[in-house]
Amino acid sequence: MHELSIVQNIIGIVTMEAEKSGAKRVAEVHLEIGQLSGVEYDLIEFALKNLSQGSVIESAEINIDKPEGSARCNECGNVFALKDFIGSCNKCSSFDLEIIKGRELRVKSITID
Amino acid sequence: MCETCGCGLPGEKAVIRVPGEEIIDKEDDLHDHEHDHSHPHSHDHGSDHHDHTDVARKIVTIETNILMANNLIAERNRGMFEAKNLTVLNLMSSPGSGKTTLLEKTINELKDNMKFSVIEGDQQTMNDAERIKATGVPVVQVNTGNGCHLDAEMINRAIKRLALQDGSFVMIENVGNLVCPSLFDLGEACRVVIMSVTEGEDKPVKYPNMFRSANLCILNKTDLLPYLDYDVTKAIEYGYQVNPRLQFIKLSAKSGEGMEEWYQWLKNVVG
Repeated sequence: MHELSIVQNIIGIVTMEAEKSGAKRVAEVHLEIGQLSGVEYDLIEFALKNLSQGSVIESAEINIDKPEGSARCNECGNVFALKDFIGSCNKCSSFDLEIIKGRELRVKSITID
Repeated sequence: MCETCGCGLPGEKAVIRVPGEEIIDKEDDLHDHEHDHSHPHSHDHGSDHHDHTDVARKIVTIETNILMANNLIAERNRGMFEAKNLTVLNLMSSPGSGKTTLLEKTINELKDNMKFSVIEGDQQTMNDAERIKATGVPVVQVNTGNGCHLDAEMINRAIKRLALQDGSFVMIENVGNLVCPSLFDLGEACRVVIMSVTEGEDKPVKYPNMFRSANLCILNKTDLLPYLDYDVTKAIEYGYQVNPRLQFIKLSAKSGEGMEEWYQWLKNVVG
């Protein structure tokens, strides 16, 4: 359940930024968690619900961008959508892929009152 | 942090101990976790009541990696390892793949010519640290409690408990788990994933994050192959599917078969 650590980090980052801005409450947290990041969205939401109590994001609306994976083939340069790590190039069938999207784990922004 | 309820910060709860000593890591947050999960609190808004609709909402751009705190400490660790000329390996696998046996054998056979220190990661017990202690090299145990992985902060604290000699290997035996440890950079030079032939051949495609991030895959317990239906070629093929640059070494830490290749790999890592 590394999602608990992830959420603890999210709360830490948001709390620090809210303090810097002098905000007591955060209305919205905008996250970007890619589909190939190795994180389960359900577990993130579960952990956020449970860990945010008493924090600045207790009543915040959580919005998560979930970028789909995409890869560049190191053999032929083809760029294509990648659903999971086990895919191969849809042109040349090579497994030598560089993941260029989908591994995001980022706090993008917060909205404060 | 407490992985059950989330109290405390990552790294605060892990207990770091040297075999034969009482708990000496006094900076550790060894607070009692016997609280209920309601986290009750009441705060007084005082006279500061204001109408929220009157205040303009403001968007603050952050664009920060969620794992930034861990990654920063990992880079500090890396800098310290470089300065002391340490070669640090992060050994990961599912429970029971033979990580500790591999370490015992390796240390016993190479310790006359190479220097080793070990950080053992487990949820509970000093068992693995005691086994390593018997080889005579410095060892420290990190007990993560309910935690499912080691993080950079735990390594930063644990490393200070080791009487490190410049130019030595530091072997970090991560918590037995093929999922969570893969996301947490510890500052290591290389990642080694160990899989044993008593597991399924498809471990690499079942846990692609782990195998994708590894530099070397050790296929352990090959002495058992005559008794199993395990298809080594298939396992290696699955490994290449998620990571075409993954190196493989087949060995048996028990019989010693294939260990020379692993020792050579270790010597090459130092360069």
